Amino acid sequence: MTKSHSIRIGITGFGKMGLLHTAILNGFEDSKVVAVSDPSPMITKVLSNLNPNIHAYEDLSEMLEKEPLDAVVIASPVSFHESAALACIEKGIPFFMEKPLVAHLQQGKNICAALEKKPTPHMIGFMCRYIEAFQKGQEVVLSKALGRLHRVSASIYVAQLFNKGVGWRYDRKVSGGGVLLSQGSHVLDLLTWYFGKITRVNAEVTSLYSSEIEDAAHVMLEFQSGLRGVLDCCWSKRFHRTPETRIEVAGDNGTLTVTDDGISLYLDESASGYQKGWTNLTAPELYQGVEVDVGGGQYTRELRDFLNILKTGKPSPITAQQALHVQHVIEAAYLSAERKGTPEVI
Amino acid sequence: MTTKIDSIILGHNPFFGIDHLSAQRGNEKSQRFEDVGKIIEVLKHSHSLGARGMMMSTHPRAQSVSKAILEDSVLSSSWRVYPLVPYIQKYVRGSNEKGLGNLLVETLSQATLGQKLGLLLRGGKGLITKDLKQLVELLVDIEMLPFQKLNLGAIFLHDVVTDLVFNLGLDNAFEYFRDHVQKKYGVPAAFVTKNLPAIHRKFKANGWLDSPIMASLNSVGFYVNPSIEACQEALFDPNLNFVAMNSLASGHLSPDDAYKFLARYPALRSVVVGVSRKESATQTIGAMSRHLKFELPPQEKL
Repeated sequence: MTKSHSIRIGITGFGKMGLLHTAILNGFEDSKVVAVSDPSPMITKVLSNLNPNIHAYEDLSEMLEKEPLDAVVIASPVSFHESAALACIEKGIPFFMEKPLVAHLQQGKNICAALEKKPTPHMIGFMCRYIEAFQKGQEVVLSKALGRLHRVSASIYVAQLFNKGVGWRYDRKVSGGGVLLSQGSHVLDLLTWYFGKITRVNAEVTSLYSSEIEDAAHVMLEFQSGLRGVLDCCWSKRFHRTPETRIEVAGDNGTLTVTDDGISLYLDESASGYQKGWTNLTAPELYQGVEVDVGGGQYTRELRDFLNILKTGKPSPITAQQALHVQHVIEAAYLSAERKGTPEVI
Repeated sequence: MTTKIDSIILGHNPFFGIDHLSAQRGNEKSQRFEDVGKIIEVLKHSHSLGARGMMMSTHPRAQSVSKAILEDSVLSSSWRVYPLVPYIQKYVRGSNEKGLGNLLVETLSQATLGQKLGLLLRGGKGLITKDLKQLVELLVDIEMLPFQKLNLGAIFLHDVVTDLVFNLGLDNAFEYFRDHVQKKYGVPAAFVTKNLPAIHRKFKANGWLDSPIMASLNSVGFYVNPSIEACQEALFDPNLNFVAMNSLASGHLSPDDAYKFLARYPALRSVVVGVSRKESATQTIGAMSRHLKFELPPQEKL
C-alpha cells in the first residue's frame, strides 16, 4: 500500500497521548506520521530507530522548520500548549491539540487572538464527544423530549491518585490545576455541548495527596438558559478503575442518565420519537466499529473528524474558542474556591 | 511449536471486577471474589464441565489466585493459565501518576540484579535505543513473575500493545515476543487485537499464523472492528488460529444465540468467556458444547 499522497503529520509531546495519536494516524490509510518531537529523546529515538520513516526531534520549532508537514498534533504537557499552538498558527499549519486548552486563561486568550488574526484549521481533543453514549445523550437533550429542564447533576471519578503524584500533572506551573482541569474539563465540555454556555459558578476544592493542586472539586453551575446544576470530580476515588462520567438531568417529562456505559431515559409521555416509560441503551447496542482502534474508538473518530476538516474545509467541531469557555468556567471555579465559595460570573 | 490451545478458556475479568457493560456490576463481582476460594469453586465447577484453562492478567489479585490453583489437587495438575501481558491499566494509571519515562524506569527496576547489571553495562539511554529485543524480553519476564510454576497454555500480548506496535510499524517487536515466549516458556505467543483484519493480513504475510489471535466476535458487532463483514476473510481462513472474546457481547446475547453465530467460522479454535457463577458456567459451557465443534475441519460458508 503506498501512502505517498498521505496527509503528513508531526506529533509534539510523546507521552501516553502522543503515542496513541501517532499509532492511530499512522494506521489510517490516508495519513502518516513523519516526525515526532519531545525534549526527552528516550522514547522518540527508539521509535525513530525502529521505524525510520518517523524522524525524531527534541525541539518543535526544529521539526516545523525541517519537515514539510500538513498538520501537527500537540500532545505536550498543558503549559506548552500556548507556545506550540502559536508556532503552528504562525506557520499556518493546521493543528489538533489535546485538552484542556491551556494551563492559564491568558494563554488561551492569546491562542484565540492569534487565530482571529490568522485563521488556521484546528481542533481541541475533547474526546468524550466521540463516545457513543454521550453522543446519544446529546441527541436526547437536543430533542427536547424531557420538556422544561429542572436540574443537572454530573460527576467524574477515577481511582488514579493515592500517593503524592510525580510528574507534570501535579506541578501547578506546568499543569495549571488538578482534577477539575484535567478530568472535569471533559465533563464541562459535555455539559456546554448539551446545555449551552455556563454563566456563573461557585466552587470548593480539596487537596488529598497533592500539595499544589486539587484532588477533588465540587462546582455549582448556572447556565445561560437558567438551568442549574452541579459537577463533582475526584481522581482519588476507590473502585473506579477507569474514569467514569455520569450526567443526570431531570425535566417536566422525565429523567435522563448518561454514563460511559450507555443511556437510561424515562419519559412520562412519549415525545420527540422516544417512547413513554424506560428506554435503556447499553454500550453493545450503541457501539460503532472504527477503521483503526488503539485504546478506544473515540480517539479514532475525533482524529477522523480532524482530517475531514483538512480535506473538506468544513468548520471545526471543537474550536479553541469553545475550549476557552470551558477554561473560563474552570478559572472562575478556582477563584470562587479561593474566596471560600463566593459566586463568580463568567 | 504446536498451536493447540484449550477450546474453552475462562476470562479473568469477572474475578477481577471488570465488567465492560457496567462498572457498578464489576464492583459487585470484585466484592464477591474477594475470597479467592469462591474463584476456585467456579474454576473447579467449570473444570468438571470440560473447561481446562483461564486467562489471567497480572492484576494485584493474580498472585493469590495462582497460589490457590497450585494448592488445589485437581487444578494444580490439569488447569492451564493463559497470562495476558502486560496488565495495561497499571501502566495507564502509572503513566498518569508518574509520566511515561519515569514509569518505564520504575518498571525496569523490578528486574533482577543480574539483569540490571547487564543493562547498566550497556549504559543508560543507549540501552533502550539499541536493545529493544532485551527490553521486550525483560518486560515479559517481569510480567510473568506472578505465574511461576503454573501450567501455561499460551502467553497473550494485550490488545493495546499489539495494536500500538502494529500501527507504529514496529514489526520487530512482534518477532522478539514470539521468539522469547516460545523459547523461554515453551508455549505459543498469542496476540489480542481490536483490529482483526489488519493483524490477520500482517501475520499471514509474515508467516506468523501459528500464533493464536484473539479478537471480539459477536452477532451485534460489539468491539468488532471495523465491522463483522470486514472480518469475514480472516474468519474463513482455516490457517488462522482464532480465539473469540466478547462472544456474549457483555451479556447482551444468550449463550445459545452467541455460539450458533460463532459456529459458522472455520478459523475458530477457542472461546474465552467470563463466568462469575456456577449456574452461568453450566449454561455457557453447555451452549458451547451444543453448538461448537472445535476439532472439525473447515465447514462450508453458511
